[in-house]
Amino acid sequence: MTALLEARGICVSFDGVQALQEVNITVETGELVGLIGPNGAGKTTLLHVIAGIINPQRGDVFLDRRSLTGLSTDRRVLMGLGISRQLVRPFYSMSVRENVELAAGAAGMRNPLTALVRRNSRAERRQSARILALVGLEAFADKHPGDLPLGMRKRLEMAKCLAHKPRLLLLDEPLAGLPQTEARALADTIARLQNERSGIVVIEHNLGEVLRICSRMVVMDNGRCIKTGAPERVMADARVRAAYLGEGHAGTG
Amino acid sequence: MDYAASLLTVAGINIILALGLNLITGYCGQISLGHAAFYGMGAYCAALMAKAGWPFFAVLLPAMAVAGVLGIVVGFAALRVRHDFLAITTMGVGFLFLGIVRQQEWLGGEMGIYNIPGAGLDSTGYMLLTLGFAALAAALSAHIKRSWMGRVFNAIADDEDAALTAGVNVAGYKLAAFAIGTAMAGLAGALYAHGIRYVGPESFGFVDSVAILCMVVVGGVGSVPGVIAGALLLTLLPQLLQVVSDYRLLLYGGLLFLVTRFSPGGMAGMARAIAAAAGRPRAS
Ligand SMILES: Nc1ncnc2c1ncn2[C@@H]1O[C@H](COP(=O)(O)OP(=O)(O)O)[C@@H](O)[C@H]1O
Ligand SMILES: [Mg+2]
Repeated sequence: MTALLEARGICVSFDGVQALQEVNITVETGELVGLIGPNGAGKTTLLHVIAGIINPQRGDVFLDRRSLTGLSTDRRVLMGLGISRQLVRPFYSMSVRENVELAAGAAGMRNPLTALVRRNSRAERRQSARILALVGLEAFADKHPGDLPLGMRKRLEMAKCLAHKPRLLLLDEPLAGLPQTEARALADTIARLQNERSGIVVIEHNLGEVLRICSRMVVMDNGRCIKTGAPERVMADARVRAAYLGEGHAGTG
Repeated sequence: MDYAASLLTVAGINIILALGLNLITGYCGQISLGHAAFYGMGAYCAALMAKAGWPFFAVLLPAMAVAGVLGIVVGFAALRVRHDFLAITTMGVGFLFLGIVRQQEWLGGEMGIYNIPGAGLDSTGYMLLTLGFAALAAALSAHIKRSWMGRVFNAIADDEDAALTAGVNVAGYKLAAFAIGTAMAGLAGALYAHGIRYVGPESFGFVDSVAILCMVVVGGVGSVPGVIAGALLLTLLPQLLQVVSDYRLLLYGGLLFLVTRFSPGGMAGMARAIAAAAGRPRAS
């Protein structure tokens, strides 16, 4: 067992409402997992538990067999989690380049005292230039995030994650709100980020695109994982269809 | 001359106070309504040590350390609460400080501590010394703003959650902001104790915390020249106009309201807007 990510028996309830009930999920290195399910299924909540944004009532999360329980979000990021949340949240007071530089410098600048005696950012600048090229943002480096269209802000969000060379990238609805051609291009970018040493979990409502890029699907409904497996097999499953139809969710977003 | 010197000494002390709070609230985005408590910590610490025979320069560092340590303790509270809850928490710290001081006989209770030995300088010398420390505080503030630390503070003030997912040690930096900003208040307190040669609880109350916040906001949150100008203005104005001094609270409240409503960037923001308007002809 060398799972990259393993979450076991995760239980979360909000004011008595069970958002996650005994959820288990594993991700192996080299996988691109599509996490789908109707609205309110608990996908974002699961991501928040893995990211340390909320603490579960029960259950444990392991990354590379190291327990993440009790660690703050920033620590988890430095241990190899890349977290891109549903709503993009760049630093609006900085340029695109500075956004990525800040993330790139976070590991070396854990100690505020080192940051106090540090002015230049040559290493971070180089790294940010490389990452911005990787996600197709090099032309926007000196723009401010507020001036970018949504699609570009989503790429910036991803660029900030990549600054830490994450082992596991967690993406919450990266394609939501994008026109189909942009969604397709961004899905291609995500697929290109995939490699043998890392994993990606992408929560998505755009079923057409997830099906196209992911190697495995996990389906959630009502706070539980109801099905996992190869995309075609999962989509043929009666329970999965019922969960979607029950929600009135036709599919391709 | 003596009057002018003591007035400028007070102005220098207020500049140090306002720049310290600017680090916490302006740079790092953590509101504090209890800055006068750290000022008082430094002042009382310096007063006690001076009375015990410690020379002036030996007192400054301990006064900063005592205030800074209390600042870190309060900073830990800032890790748990945000925004308006942090405002209330820091306000509580201010009241707690005064409540304790007023009850303690060894701190002089309501009477305070008087006959504190001076620094051995005449009033002009002491003014120059205080202004020198104010210049150092300004230099440190400007340096931090340009350093990586300033960038990280900026990110935390901008969006704390985004800073966390960017891997930023948010907790560590918040504590650093509180430690540095409150240590500066401790220094201001020590300068006050030796300058006025008396410390009493009435100098470190809620109104004083609001006054310091007012200097920061009126001058321009985050701007070093702006905050200095704000501190100067709010020090000199009540001295020059008796009516202002009689209605201090009203003035602070009114200024805070007007600035946040009409010019959130304070005087620095206004100066920038005027410079920008002068620089290019306005499109109609
Ligand atoms: N912070 C919260 N407080 C209360 N209820 C919440 C909170 N976050 C999520 N929930 C509830 O938990 C359930 C799962 O939500 P979520 O994880 O956002 O679903 P999904 O991302 O799959 O659409 C929903 O019923 C939602 O209303
Ligand atoms: Mg969601």
